[in-house]
Amino acid sequence: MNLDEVNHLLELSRIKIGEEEKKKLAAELGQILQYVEKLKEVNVSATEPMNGGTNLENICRADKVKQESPDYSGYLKKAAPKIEDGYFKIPPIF
Amino acid sequence: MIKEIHRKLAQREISVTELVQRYLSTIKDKEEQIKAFITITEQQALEAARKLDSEIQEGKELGILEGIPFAVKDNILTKGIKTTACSKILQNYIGVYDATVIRKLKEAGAIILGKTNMDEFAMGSSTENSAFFPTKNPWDERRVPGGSSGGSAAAVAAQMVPFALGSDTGGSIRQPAAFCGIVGFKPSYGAVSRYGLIALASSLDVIGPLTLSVEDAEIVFRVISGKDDLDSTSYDLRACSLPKEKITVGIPQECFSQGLDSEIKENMEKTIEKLKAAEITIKTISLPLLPYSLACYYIILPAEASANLARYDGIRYSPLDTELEGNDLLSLYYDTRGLGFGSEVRRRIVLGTFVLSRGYYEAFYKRAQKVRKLITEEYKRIFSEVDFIISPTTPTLPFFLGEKKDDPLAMYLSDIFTVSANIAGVPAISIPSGFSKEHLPIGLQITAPYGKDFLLLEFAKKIEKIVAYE
Repeated sequence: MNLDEVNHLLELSRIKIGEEEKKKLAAELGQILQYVEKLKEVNVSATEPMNGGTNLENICRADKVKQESPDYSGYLKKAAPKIEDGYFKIPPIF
Repeated sequence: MIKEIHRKLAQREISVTELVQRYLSTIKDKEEQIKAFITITEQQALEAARKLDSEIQEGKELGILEGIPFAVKDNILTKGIKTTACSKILQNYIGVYDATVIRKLKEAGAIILGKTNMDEFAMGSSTENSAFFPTKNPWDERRVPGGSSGGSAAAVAAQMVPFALGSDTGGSIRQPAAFCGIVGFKPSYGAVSRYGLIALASSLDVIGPLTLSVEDAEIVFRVISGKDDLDSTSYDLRACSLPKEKITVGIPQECFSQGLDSEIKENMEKTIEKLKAAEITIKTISLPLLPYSLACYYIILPAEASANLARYDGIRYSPLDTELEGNDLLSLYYDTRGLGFGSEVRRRIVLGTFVLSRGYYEAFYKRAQKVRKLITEEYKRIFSEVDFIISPTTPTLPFFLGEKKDDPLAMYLSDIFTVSANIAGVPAISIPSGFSKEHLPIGLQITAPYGKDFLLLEFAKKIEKIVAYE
């Protein structure tokens, strides 16, 4: 994997790292991809992909709101770094 | 072990407060060397103990887990208690609610003593990927306890708690249990609710117990398992009992051909002899796809992890300790995730992003999902011929701290025998089966058909006695 590809993937992943680390990452990813290449040896032509970890069929339930406590969203917001007037505060988008 | 503690509590030989204090003092004695805990909840634990003691005074009948202390892997949410997944990105995060397993254990009267160390977001096999500090193996402090549930395994092995919870995505309960000489049980996928478990790979993750005996694992599992409205993949297991006729156990020949440590091989051969002597039929089986499980896993896991970890954006969870430079939203994402995630987590997110990206999705991700289907079918086929599969839990003995830290692929290979159970969703347990010449623990893994968790536990109790070491 070359540095351009790694830069593109880091951009898609929204991760910023230093140049040295990028080189290391490129080499490690190359090594891992080489290892997982061995899946090409398996004949999968007649197989459907398995999409999840369960054999369960669809399960339905009533679409009712269950709230843990009256101020549940308040608790959730408490964890956030910046809250103003009950809203998440973020830097400008542009 | 749990039954014995329960008996002492029920007969009032010891109060809950004394019991909790005893374990807290063991933690204090050993923690400096072992470093199993991220958070110790001494005050809350003692309060819960006193409350229970006064209820006992008033004549309360004790349930089996009432008053029994335990530890929780730090990726399982605990209300009001820090829950970090051992990542800088969550280092100040306090659980907003209790995971279903925690709610159930609290309702059963068990008492949390603390949160245990782990590889960041459960990515690793040595607990060295914790953003805070590594945990030491209680049998040899120069060595790793395994991972990612290394803190939980070390805490149980050092008798700092009678039991602990871990999570297993590719071996993260069984491998540290083997390295620390204890029991680690990975239930069938969906047998235990994942609500409140910080997601790594949602189609592989399972919560399970780490204990000193199979009986203890069963006691804890009975409490934490079952369908939960808050996890749509959870379901109720059916109880079942061992067949009366002869039991057949399959030994996959593939296990002996993959760089297996010679002492583990020898131990395995001894185990086979013991099983034969106990009139268990041994059959050599072939799982030709077993060697592909790990490759399959290292596509599916990063793919799911890259999606699950997208939520850590610097907006909703705890702040980093560093002041960030950027002044627009995109920089906030880049900086938070660049500084907040450790190198293994970054590696897997980027790998997952790669296998899901246009042009590679079919060749990697979809192919892995197809191989996953074939592996699942292979297990079904084998379980029509044998009742259980037995193998070593790990290919090597506990390795030294730092030995594999800079070689991701070598670290990944630690899970070569354990990942396939997650790929196929089947239950598997690691039990102690003796020691190496240097007195390092060796684990034996037993795997059962999907949904036959209680059967597996019944059988493991039997095997535990057969392989019991001197």
